[in-house]
Amino acid sequence: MRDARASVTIHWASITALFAAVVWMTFDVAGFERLLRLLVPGQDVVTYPTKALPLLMAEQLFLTASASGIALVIGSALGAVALSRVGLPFRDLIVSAGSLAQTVPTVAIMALIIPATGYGARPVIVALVLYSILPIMLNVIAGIDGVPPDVSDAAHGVGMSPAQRLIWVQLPLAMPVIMGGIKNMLIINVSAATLGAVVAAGGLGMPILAGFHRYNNAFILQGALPAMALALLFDRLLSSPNAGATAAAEA
Amino acid sequence: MIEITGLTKRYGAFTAVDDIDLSVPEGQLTVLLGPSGSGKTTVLRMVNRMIDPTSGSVHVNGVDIFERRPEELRREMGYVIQSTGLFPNMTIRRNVGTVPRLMGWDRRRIDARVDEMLDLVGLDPDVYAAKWPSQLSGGEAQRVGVARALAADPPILLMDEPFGAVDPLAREHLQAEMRRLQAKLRKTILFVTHDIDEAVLLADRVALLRNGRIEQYDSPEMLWRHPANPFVRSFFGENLGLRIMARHRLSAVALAPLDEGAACRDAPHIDARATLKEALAELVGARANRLVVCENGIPLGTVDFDSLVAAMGDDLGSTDA
Repeated sequence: MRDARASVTIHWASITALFAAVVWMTFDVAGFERLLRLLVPGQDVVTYPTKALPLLMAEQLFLTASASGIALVIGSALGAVALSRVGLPFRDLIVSAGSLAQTVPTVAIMALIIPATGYGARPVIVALVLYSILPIMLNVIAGIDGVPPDVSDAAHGVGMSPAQRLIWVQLPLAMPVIMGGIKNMLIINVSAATLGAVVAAGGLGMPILAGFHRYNNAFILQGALPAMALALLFDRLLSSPNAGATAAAEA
Repeated sequence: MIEITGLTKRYGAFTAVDDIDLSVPEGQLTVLLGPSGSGKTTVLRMVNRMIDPTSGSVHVNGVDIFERRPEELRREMGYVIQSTGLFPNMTIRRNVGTVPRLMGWDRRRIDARVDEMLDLVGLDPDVYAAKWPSQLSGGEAQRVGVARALAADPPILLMDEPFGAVDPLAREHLQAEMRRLQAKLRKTILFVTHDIDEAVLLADRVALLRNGRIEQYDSPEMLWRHPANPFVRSFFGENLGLRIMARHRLSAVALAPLDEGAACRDAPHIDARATLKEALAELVGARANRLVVCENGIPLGTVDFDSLVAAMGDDLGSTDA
């Protein structure tokens, strides 16, 4: 029990620290600049001049959130279809389509759809959505499939309707697996959204791209460090405090 | 009362249930007994519409079940399965309260009913209501399964090998408990098992199935005295008489008068609540010709081998005290 409590404390401490780091890098311009000078000595200009970090962070969050939100809806819906009586025969087809979407490189997807969507946020969001549907869909299917058959049978036998079975029994039991999929998607998307800079969608990719063009490692770090902290924050937020604590609570 | 007529279920070329007629009397426990693959579970699951029959009909108290909404029908039939199927994401309280909640009872009524049901199956609500299914032993989980099935006071119980997955000792406890509960509640029960001892101990009537057909449907006493065919005789085997003896208590036997001054302490004796099988074992074990039958330390009479044999005669009733 003591170990479990300690790891819960560590869990929340790391969330607090990561959140503080994200906020600090975003809003304390002078402070972050001192850190960058320390990390990249001999660089005259260490702060990306075109856009301020709060705006870049907002764009990054917007791209991540809208792509993840849309992927969550479509992925869950496809998962539900694949699990339904109607969709069961097409299950392999649906899963293969999702896998295929994931095999196409994100940059290629963006390049291919720009003629249709134009530059800006839209091609990034479409590319990220296509990329994220599979992990969501697979985890929804795996989660519901993983519900013990006798439990589903009992839910059926006591007189629950299909919707009641889903909401009261199957989804709660599938939730850890589904949350795992959501977590993976968010971590991938928060990093992949930096690609938005290529198609003028803004985001933390802009200083990274600028740093790449101007041989300025400070710019690269200015975009990369907040993006990494953000990804780690999402990872911690969507992980259970620890497996040991859950087991202890059940014992 | 459950009235099954011409019930048939085919899967492609395979006939799982073949034109079964079965009438389950109200307030009685009817066992569907048979080897695996005999179709007993399929029959059970057609009664609450979890499986649709190929043909045939089922009426419950005169109403055709196919004119009922399946969910409503199931809520009026308690359902107990071998692996308990307790919902791992719900506490014992929420598990037991499932059907009342589905039926829209208010919270206070559900809570009171859950406490009552846990008491009924011998689990202290203060200890168990807040627990999770993963914290229970197999026997406890199965009791909770029974409590959940009884919670909305359904007139009918469907039980599919409910005690099949627990260890032998816990199973005996649960069977004894089941007899006590049924004597009190008098539900109409359809009970699937492949365990002959369990069937003979619990059943008012047994339907012996083979290859989707009923070989014989009778009280255990009739199955023993008048087996319909060689399969029935060989299925129950040589021990059926002893198993029947375990169904009947000494209190139902005509006792011989006591000797002058007989007491329960010195002579070989046995409690009046013992079964005939226990009495036989005691006669053999004590190397005695007869036993003094006692109730609360007061001698009632004596029982000997001949009176046991006489008790197992043709006029042996099928109801056990």
